[in-house]
Amino acid sequence: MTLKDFYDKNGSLSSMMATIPSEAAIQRLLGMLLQDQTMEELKRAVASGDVPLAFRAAHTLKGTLMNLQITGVQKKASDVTEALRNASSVEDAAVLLPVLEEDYNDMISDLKELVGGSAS
Amino acid sequence: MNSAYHFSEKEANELRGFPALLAIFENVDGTEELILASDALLSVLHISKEQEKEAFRDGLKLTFHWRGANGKELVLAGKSVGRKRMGHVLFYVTYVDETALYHEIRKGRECEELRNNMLEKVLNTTQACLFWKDLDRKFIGVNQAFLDTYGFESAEDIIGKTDEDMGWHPYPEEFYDAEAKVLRGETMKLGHTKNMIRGKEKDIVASKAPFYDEKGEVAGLVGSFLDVTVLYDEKRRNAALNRELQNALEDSRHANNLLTQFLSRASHEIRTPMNAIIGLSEIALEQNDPDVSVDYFRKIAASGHYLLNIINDILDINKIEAGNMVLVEKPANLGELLEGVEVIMDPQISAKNIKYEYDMEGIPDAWLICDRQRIQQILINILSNAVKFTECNGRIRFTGKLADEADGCVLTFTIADEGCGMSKEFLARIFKPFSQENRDPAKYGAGTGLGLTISKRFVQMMKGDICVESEEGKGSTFTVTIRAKRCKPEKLKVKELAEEAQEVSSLKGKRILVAEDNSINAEVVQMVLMMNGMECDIARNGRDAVEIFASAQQHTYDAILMDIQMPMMGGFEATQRIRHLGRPDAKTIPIIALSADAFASTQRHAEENGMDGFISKPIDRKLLIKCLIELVQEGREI
Repeated sequence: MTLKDFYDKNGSLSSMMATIPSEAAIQRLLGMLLQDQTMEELKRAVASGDVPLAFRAAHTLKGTLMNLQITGVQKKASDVTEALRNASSVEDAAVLLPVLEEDYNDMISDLKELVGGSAS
Repeated sequence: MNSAYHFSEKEANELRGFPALLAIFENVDGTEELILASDALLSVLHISKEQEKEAFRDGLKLTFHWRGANGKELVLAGKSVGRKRMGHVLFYVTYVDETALYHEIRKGRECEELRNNMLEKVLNTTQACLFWKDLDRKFIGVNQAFLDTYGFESAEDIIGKTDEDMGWHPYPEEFYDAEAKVLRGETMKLGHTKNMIRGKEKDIVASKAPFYDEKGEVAGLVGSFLDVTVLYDEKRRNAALNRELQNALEDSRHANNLLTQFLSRASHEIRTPMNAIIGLSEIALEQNDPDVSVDYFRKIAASGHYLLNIINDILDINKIEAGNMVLVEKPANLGELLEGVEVIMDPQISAKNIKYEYDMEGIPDAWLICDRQRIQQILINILSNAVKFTECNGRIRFTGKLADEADGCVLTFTIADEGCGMSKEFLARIFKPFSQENRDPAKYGAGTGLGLTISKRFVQMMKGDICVESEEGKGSTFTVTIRAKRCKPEKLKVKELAEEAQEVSSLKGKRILVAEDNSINAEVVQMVLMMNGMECDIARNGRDAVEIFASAQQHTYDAILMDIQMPMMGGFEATQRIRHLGRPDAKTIPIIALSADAFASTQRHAEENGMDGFISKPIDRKLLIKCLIELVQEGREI
């Protein structure tokens, strides 16, 4: 999988290049996503019913995905964020979370393929 | 038959009152016959009193047709002589049987009629227009072709009229004279003349001949003519074509000559500096002293540049002549154009300490769609010449005028110098390739001899011209006219780019404090900042941000980029704390919010908490830079 393939599937390469006009740099940033723990934090927070923590995690995740122009998953993250903004409980978010998780995992596996490919 | 005849009472009564009662026929052999007048005879002999008198006096000539009983037709020509005999009036008739003659005559007449008909048919079928006139030159007859050619309905429209009456000759006197000759007995041979037929001038070939009456005198003239306009038009076209081909051949030969001459001159012009380069190189190689060598290298480089100029000029001319030169016409500001010229001309003008007068009223603000580069090339060419041929401390005047026309405007530049001027002879060929006056090149510098040729061509492509006035010893004035259309002003490209570059470069070296908990987001921001020459430090949350800022010296940081949602301490709180640090730079430092929220409420919040700007994610590089430029430049308003 090439960088272009990844973005064709998950977002917009051209928009990303407008901000960071270096494929190498973009690839490095994407690599960091593999180490990123925000998704885990979100899951834990929702599981424990911690609204403010969950909100922050969702918000951060949304921001990261936005910065990386991974638009599809970002939208799902945004939905979860709004479900947690000033919410009384994690209930609504809990419903949306599995959808987000599934899309996120798909994207991560694409990412692994991209990074794995370039590593070899 | 009996020689005497007795009439019965009845017969006598019947016959009474008729002048001719009886007819005594004297036959050819002299014998007489008395015949009772029959009806046929009676009708024939029903003659008037006058005729009776004639009969008595001279004898009456009679011709009578008599259809005999057998149906045979007899034509008798006779003479009847009246005599009184036996108390009766008698007519002696001697007759000749002219039946055969009669038929012969009739046949002859028929033949003649046939022949006449045939003749008429021929006359009216032939395509040649035929006419005949009497001695007064009045038309007495025309054939059908004549009528058709002129469009007459019938011959009556022309019979009895003269040419003058019809008014169809462009040269009536000539015509009159010619016909007068014919009527004197000369035959006019086939000749070409022009006639007005139905309002159009036509070419005709005509011939005329006199015809004679029985006495042998000229009774009129017969003429024929043919409309040969089509033939003559073709002849004329062919002649014109021939002339064109001749001219083209001439031009081609001439062009070939010019080309040969040009190639010869060009080769010579190229060879000279080429030789210099080779010669100087060889000498330079022999030198031991590097300083001397360097001097030679300088000369070699100069020759090289000169050679390149010639070759470029030749390529330009070639391209123009082949019709491949295209003007690149874009909106251009005339002020910028003239600045470009000034940049090139300044050194030359200063070097000779020339007094430069400059007047371009109304032009620098104008925007025209034109080929800026070529116009500059033209102006530089002429100005360089002016400088070259003006003495040190001399004067050059460069003025311009812009006037509006029907569909565009006219730009007029005038370059006047008080230099050595040009002779009339040289003036006539200055725009020809490689024309150079025989002036001392050491004094006046060597040009390629193609500059003005190229300039003239370009100006002509711009629908303008170059005019020169010059007097030896007094100086020269060049007037360049160019036509172009006005256009809307655009941002001066150069300025725009310069401004942009300047602005971004103003950020170079600035130090930014970035508070962002997520390492990926922090990395993105850092990348963008460093790409634009800025340095940055990362704080992982609001508390660290406050701490890093507080422990840094005043004015270490030029701006802070603060994420809102962070653990431990969020962006709003951190901002408040920084603002209340009690340091002057804490109050003035621009703090820009970074957030994944784009809600107006969040922005308001940011403002309320002492933040100066708001950048939402995904981070737009241009926006971020713009924001930093604005805030870092101006500083914060307290």
